[in-house]
Amino acid sequence: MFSIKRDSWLTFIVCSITGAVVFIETAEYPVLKGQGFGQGPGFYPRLLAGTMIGLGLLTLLQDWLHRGEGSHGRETEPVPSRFLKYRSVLFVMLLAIFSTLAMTSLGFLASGFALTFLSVLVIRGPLKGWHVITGFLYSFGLMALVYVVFAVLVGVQLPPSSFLR
Amino acid sequence: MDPFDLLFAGLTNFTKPYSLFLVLAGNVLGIIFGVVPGLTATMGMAIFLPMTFAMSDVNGMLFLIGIFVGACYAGSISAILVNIPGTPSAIATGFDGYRMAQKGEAGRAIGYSTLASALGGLFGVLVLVFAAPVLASFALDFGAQEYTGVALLGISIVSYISFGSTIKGLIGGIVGLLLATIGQDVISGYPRFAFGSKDLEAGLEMIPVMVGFFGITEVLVKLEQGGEVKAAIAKIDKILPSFSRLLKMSPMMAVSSMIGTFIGAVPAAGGAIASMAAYGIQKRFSRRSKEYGTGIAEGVVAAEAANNAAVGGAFVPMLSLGIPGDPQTAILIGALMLNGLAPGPMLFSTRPDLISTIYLGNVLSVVVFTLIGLAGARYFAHLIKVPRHYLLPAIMIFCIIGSFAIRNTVFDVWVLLACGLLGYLLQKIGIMPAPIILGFVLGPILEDNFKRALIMSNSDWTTFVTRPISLILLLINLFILIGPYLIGLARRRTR
Repeated sequence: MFSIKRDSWLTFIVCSITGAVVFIETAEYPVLKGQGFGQGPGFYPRLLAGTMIGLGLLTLLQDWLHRGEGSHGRETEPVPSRFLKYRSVLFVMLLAIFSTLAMTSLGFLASGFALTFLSVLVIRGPLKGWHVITGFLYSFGLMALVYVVFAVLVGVQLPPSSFLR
Repeated sequence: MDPFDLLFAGLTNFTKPYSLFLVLAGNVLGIIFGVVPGLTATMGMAIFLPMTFAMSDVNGMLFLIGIFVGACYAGSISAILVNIPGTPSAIATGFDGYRMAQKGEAGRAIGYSTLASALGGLFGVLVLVFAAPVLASFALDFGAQEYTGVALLGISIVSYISFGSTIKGLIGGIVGLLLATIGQDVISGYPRFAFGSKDLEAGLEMIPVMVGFFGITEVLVKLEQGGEVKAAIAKIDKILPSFSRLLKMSPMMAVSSMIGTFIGAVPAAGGAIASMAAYGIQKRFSRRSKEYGTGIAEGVVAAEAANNAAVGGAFVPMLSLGIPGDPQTAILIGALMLNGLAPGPMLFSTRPDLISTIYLGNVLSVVVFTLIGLAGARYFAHLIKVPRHYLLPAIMIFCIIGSFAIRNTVFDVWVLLACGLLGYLLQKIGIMPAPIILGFVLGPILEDNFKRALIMSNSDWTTFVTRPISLILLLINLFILIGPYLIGLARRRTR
């Protein structure tokens, strides 16, 4: 977690940006008459966005009122360990994105297999030869299970490979 | 007909082995659909509904009730073991259940969850049998203003019980409410936040959003934490809590069951709000208030007793008025209609055997899942023994396939990944996934009723305070949100 002070600033920024996006997007929504109240489809999101910005400000205020309490300004950790910490998150998320992109061309089973196999290797860390073999077998088994449960038993139509169509 | 006579009118249906087998099969399927994140009770019931075409109305009901009750119970298992609720009603169970599992008490958490679910489930059925007409007429008095109050109550409770700052809990709730506005406006049909995409115009599906915020976020958090996802499994042998401990917890179980049954009886409220409300209230008034969320059995018991009691509650408006209490009872109503039956007050006089079958089917399902739960606890708990380099990719795959299966579209997988990443980033600044999901679930109920209340009152905002039940609900909301601050302020002044 980031330090409390930075948390509050970030919360405020997130709330403000979200609120602003909602206000900008809904600015052009029509004001429909005959609804009993003439606010239209943008009224409710704007109400939520306004509340959100208000709560963002309250977070800052609360932090300011409680200044001196808790662990403000916690030291950030050294850069190398932070990179190692987020490396798997980044890799697995990218793998998931590429696998979803490839789903329509490779099909679910092939893209799912690639996602599982590569994720197993990335999460496992330092690899030995037999890790690759067990990872391969595990990924193959998982995809077989997914196929039997979802495609055969439940009847879900898994995306087929476009090369096989 | 006397409630006792009605209760046993369909007893003969349970003398046939085939009917008993269907209850068992339904429960096993329900447990599978409940345990696997991304599969839900609704999905299970919807998928197996066509199978009931070949069955008698009684057997079809028993089979579907088995799936419903089994899945409601089993949602807690994955919440306890991997902090991914199998169903939305198990969100609150994970708050303490998962912490217990991390402390090496996974078996005990499942034991408590199973027994609380059983007692809550039985309580719900008892209320269904004896108080159905009274509860149904009370829920019938709810108008748009009251539903707005109930939805707001859900948001305030979840912001209060979400750990850390209440304000951040509220922000999370609003993020969920905003996500729920994506798609067509409920009143005018105008597309909002669609940015020209037909998929966004149709709105976001519940399952990808829920599984994304809980499943994918949890996977990313686990990846960041590093190390193995293992609790001290050595203590799995102690599953059943002592009788004295259970006796000590019985008042809170009763209160949670009452809350669950009442909220379950309010149409569209459902088990998720019931368990959150019961958890929040128990936390608020417990002597161990500060320990909630650190892994205490009371947290698991409060949530599980309530969400299983809500099942019985949800049957109240369904049977008495023909109004579904949640999506699952909507499917049951559909099943009744497919058999040419009209759910509602007339069913009590025309088909007392069917009403009795529904009562007894619920009781039998509770017995079956209790036996499966207690016998299987030590095996379920071994799920967390799986090394994380195998477990996390498998969770990821199940989340993806679960999201895809809802509408057979890759767009839902993108929603899943986006929600997972958003949940992970928001968690970094202390905004947790639970309020976001509750906001998302309550979004359509809140917006629809809020707008309808304003339309009906011709934009008169006082409509929310001029109706007694609505006023009481708003006052409770206010108390939950600013009560603790006022009490704290008063205490400081006294010092």
